[in-house]
Amino acid sequence: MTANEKMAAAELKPLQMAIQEITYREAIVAALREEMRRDPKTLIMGEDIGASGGPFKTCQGLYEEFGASRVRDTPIAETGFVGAALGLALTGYRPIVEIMFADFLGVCFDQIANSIAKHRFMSGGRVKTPIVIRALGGAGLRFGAQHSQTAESWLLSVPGLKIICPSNPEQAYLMLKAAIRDDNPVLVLEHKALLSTKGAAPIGLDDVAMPTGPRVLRPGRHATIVASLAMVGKALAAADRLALEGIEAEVIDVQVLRPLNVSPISDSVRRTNILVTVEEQAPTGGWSSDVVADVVSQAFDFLDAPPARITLPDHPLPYSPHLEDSFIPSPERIAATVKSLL
Amino acid sequence: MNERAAGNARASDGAAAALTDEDRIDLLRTMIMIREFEEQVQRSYLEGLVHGTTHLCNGQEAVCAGVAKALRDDDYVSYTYRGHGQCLARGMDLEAAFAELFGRATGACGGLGGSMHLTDIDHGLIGAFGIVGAGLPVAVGAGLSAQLAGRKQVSVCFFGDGAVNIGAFHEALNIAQVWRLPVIFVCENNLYGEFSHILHTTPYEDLVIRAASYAMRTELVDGNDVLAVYAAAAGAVARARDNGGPAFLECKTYRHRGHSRTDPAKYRAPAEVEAWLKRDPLSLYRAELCAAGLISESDADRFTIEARSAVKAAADRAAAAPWPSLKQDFMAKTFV
Amino acid sequence: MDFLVPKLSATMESVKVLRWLKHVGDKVAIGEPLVELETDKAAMEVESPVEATLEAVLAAEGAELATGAVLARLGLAGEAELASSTKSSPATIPDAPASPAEFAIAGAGSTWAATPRILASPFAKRLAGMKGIDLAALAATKPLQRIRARDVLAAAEARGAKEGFEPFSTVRRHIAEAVTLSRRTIPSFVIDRWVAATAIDQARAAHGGQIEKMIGVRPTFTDFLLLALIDSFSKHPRILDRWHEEDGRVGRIRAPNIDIGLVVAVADGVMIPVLRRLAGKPVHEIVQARHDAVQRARSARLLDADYAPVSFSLSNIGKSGADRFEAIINPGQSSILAVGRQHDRVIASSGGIIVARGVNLTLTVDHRLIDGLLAAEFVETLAERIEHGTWSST
Repeated sequence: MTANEKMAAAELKPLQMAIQEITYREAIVAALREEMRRDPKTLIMGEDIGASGGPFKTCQGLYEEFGASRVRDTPIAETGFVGAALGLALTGYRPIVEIMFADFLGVCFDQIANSIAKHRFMSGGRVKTPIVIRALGGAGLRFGAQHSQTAESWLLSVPGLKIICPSNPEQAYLMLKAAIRDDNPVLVLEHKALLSTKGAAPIGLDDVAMPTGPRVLRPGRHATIVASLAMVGKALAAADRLALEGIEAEVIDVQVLRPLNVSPISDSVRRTNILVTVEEQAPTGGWSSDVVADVVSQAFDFLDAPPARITLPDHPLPYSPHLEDSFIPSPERIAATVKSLL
Repeated sequence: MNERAAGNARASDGAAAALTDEDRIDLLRTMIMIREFEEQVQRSYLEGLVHGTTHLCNGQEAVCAGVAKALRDDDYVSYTYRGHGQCLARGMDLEAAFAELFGRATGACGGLGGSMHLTDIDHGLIGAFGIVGAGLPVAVGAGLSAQLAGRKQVSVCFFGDGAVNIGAFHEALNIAQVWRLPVIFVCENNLYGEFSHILHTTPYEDLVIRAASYAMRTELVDGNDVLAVYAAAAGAVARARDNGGPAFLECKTYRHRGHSRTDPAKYRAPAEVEAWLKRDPLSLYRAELCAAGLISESDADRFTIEARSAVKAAADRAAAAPWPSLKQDFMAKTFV
Repeated sequence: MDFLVPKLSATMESVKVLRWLKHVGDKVAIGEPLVELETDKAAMEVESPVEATLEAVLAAEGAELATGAVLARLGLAGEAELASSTKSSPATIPDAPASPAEFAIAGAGSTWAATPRILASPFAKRLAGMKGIDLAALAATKPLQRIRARDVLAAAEARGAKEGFEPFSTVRRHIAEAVTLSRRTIPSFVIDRWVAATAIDQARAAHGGQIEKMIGVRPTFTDFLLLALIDSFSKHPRILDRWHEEDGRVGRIRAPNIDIGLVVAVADGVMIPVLRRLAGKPVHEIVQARHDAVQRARSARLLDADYAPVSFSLSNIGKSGADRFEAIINPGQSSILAVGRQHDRVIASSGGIIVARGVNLTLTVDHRLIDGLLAAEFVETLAERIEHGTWSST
């Protein structure tokens, strides 16, 4: 069966849960489709997401099923349509917007940071703001400096937002569904380089909930590696290498950047005594700085080496392939860093 | 005063003709209430009850009162940090408004919003935006909501002349026009963006030119003539309800006071201020109703005294209200 | 990485920077001399421990620095600038103090800076505390390196080579030392007496609720024992004398106040927080003081006052199995009262027999200070107070 046939099969019994091997992209589409079926007040807006299915095909088939009014092409005007999402949310809808490249969040930063994030609070809790902002980010596709950022750090310090980062199809599916049902604005940072990666996901599962903290993807007792988005896969690959040498690394997907819950990571460090973070971002102002700071506060007496942070270098991302590859943290580098701390 | 604006507004006086005597008196009382409210805010500020800063709308009452008269309860209204008038014109409770300005638990937003973010969704108020221009895209979203719901609602968006130079203005007008949304953009052109005269920041004084470039229906209105404002708004709203698309009303008006509490507005020529004070919308309309024999001078005085005592009583009650407390766990209400 | 003042000899505590042999920006190879230092013994060249670039000189020529202070910052060679960056100190390089100034010697006679800092990871410090490993000794074997958990574990293993051997925790070790010293140096004797607890039980029932309402703490049996002890000490203050030796002369120190140490069981041992200046305190203050003392012990947060001299301790076994036991006097103190569990006993009363509930009071005293008669009179007073005294809630 092709992926589309699988989806079609799932459509026949929408409430029947089935574990399916699907891509990250298909997981996003499945979550959108199921939630839009579930709640007629849900709609999605973005650039070229209608008949053309989205530049990254993350809305494929939605226009055909839900029509132009619920799968709405917008002008190239992020401030305009992201702001419009707030107006929709305040008047009874549950809008989803797609930001084609996470880099473009810069274009609508004011609407997100000053309006969307604060409106519910400033009203004294009188209104709800169920808005999902999906943004596709990430390096590795040779898109150059303005189309390769994950933008994880950008809105990290804005209270009133939730920020989630799915790193595999299962999380992309479950977390997006939970985000759409959330009454707060949720920024979903997706990663372009993950779109074609495959994994098992419980398609059709209706009982979803927003995770409240990081997730241990692989247990281990010698070191804790914390990563997000595409770096999770690199961390898992590093753990495979380390295992060949008898080193058992615990790999944790941070997965929820806001509100950031470091306690489970501290618990892990209490067992492993070594902390390494991997972040596809410049060295300053990212979540890994917060993770290290909180782990030092919460589990100081259990650290047996200074925590290490692996990040991008402090430059914009370059275009040239070998340069871009050397920027992105590799499994080799992660494994070597872990070993240097043991 | 802009001659063309005055002429244009009176030409569309037809809609205002439909107003009953009661409606006309009600309009005056709304304007008086807004004026008295703002005067009380000024006094309360000096008493230390209003914190931070506040932006008064004295002199611009005809715009919010006139537009509000053309709306239904289920229409949506968005506005700016100079938004007390819009809130009152939509019927916000006086005590809830003062309590919010005083930062009290009984405020319309529980004391979390303040003067710049006074709002109440139960009156169709979808928010006071503190960032210039930020409310326009949100109003467009409410307009899309109205279009999708199909209940012939409209979304009205108030903003100042300063907003026409920011990107959000252009994105919002463009989207509203291409999607033919029922959005009425009401520009309160009071000649000053913060401390700067419009001609220092914008190449022309008539901002309808901007909207016209989006192929949007526009109207230049005497913003100090409440009946002219009502007439223009009623026309635009009726068209929008009838799927006629958005409209842009430029209401020429004037801030009696400075931009905010700390601004004495010394940058304005005394002659200019004097000329505009002579065209105070409240005095003009009061005289008009008296001249038409709808009310007597003593009726008008009574309206003012009643409004003054109502705002005073509301402010006193608000000042006695408790402070919000961390123990109330506002996080649970505002983030779940 | 930070380049620190190494410990170049066992006695060395500070150095003077004589001359830098490299300039900022110079590359240095492993083993290449970087700086010339003057120690208490001689002038010597110190070599770079790594291949690096001298990024910053943090101690000027002529400066005096303590062992472990920062001399310079070295940029590690081989870190390609255009590669994903890792921010951490390599594990083999010791921790640096926050600023070089922190370790610079301010002037002659400054002693605080002369103590070299032991460089160990937080987890290694924790393990060393748990396993009783002397970090300073371990540090001497690992110059220029941070002590890691594995070093502590290795040291513990080396020391505990005998099968089944488990080294003591710090608390356990201190107890072992204290009781050994007591048995070796304090000639003590023991007297005991059974007392009925009926009056205390009635007083607790009568006043407990009121006191709890007032301060939120429910009075215990121990609180009434403390009250009885305070009253009895006022009648026999000599019981609180302490043994003292000075310049070859021996004598006693009279206790100025009524203070009582309370033996509290904690993980792997006991602690003795002290209740101070108890004479004349109302009941609820005694209850509160006892409650606070127990909390201090259980959270291992004793105060300085808990370490100051005290003459007497109370050890109440509570509900545990023993009817009576003899306690060992804590060195520095002169007596300790051991209270067994409450139990029923058949006693003669007015020519008949009755069954009554009570406890054994077992007093161990230092015979150098206290004779049998005084001890017996004190116990008599205490028993009388417990069985027939009056109690109030205030």
